[in-house]
Amino acid sequence: MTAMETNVPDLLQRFATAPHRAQVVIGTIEIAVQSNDPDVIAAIQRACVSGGSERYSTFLAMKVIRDRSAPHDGSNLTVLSVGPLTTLLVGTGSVLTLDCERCEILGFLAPPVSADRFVNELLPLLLDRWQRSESPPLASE
Amino acid sequence: MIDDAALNCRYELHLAGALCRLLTNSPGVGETLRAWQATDTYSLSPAFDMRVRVNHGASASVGRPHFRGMRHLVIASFGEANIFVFDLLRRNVSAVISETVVSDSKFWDRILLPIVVGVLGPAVGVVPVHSACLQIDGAGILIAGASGAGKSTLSVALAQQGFHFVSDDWTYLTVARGELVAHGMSSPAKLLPDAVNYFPGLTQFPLCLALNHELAYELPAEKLGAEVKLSCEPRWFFFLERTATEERCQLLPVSADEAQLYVERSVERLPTELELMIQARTAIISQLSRLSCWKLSYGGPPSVAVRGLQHFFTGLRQGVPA
Repeated sequence: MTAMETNVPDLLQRFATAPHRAQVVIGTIEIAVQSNDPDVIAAIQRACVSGGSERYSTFLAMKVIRDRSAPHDGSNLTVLSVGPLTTLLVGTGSVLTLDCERCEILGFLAPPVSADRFVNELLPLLLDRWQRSESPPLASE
Repeated sequence: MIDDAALNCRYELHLAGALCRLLTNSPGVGETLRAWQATDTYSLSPAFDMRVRVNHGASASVGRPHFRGMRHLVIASFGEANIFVFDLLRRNVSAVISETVVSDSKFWDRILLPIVVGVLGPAVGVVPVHSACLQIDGAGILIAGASGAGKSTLSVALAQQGFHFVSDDWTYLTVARGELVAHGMSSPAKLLPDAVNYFPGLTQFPLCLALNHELAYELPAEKLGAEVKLSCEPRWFFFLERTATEERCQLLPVSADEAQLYVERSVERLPTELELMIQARTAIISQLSRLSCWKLSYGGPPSVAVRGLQHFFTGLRQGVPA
């Protein structure tokens, strides 16, 4: 019955697999990272600044997908921060969202955004936001 | 950081049976969306918030849409300066847009608002179904079918024969006071270039590039002679199938199980984090599948199917069992 046959492709890439994994510590934040791109894992491991003996105060889960079908255009950074969510848009194809309440970073990297740019420029923005959300405001603020 | 205090313009929008509380820093957004402002909120599904900050320094127009999703989040960008983040767990949408987009009513009406309802639907009790919707004798009919099956052509042909037009492509289902309700979004009817063979009047209108980059006629249904309704209570569900060229129309009953399976397979797959929404959606689909369901097969011009359906409904009016 052809009229009754249908299926829906995963257009949003919600179910993209991320077989590469690592557990790293940046500052006092322990991060469990998953990605489909070994370069992302390698870059974040290079950025790991803790020898592992420090006490880490917080934990983040992170899933970052290298999105080879994302558009390549633009390089401007747009930041949207509302409630517990902070989203970075780079160009039109790379998006990263930090959910402070759920302690996770989710996102997609378009081909023009290198693993090093992600780790050295974009991730610190999100971690800074995360640490500010964790810190109680000063009495004078 | 978008602070609610800075979003001092507040509106309530009625979007396909759902109540949207819009918070923005620009009265221009409210002005552009005036036609969507709710007058009666009694019968609407649970509400969601949409926070829109207009970046008055930016002038980028709407760019090509790009969507990605993970877990409870869906992110849509429309060029570099326009981004919408949908949070299904918290039932809200947040956005930053350029000033140029504020008054772009085509973007809001035809692109963004249907996307908002489509993406956030599972969180607010709205199920988008890939089907046309018409109304006859006060009751709604849904016509599902694959892209290219001829839903739009048949919808316009039926509308020109006295059926009221609700939608020709996507229909949004809610349950109000226990009854299934089908909503349209006032989207224009989209007819492919060969529809000119059935509707010669189309030649007076230009072809344009549709959202999916197909060349098509996109016209308000009223311009095609239709009387438009925003919603109706559906009673019949047809699955459209085009057959070979022989001019013939056939209606065969479809079981509730088959209908439910078809719809379950055609809706977007959702992650396990949204299990409660999946259950709520399944309940609405189950209610949909309990309508009177039929496979509608026809060959030849759409007038063949129109005659077949007119005969079907005339028989019902006269008490002849379908």
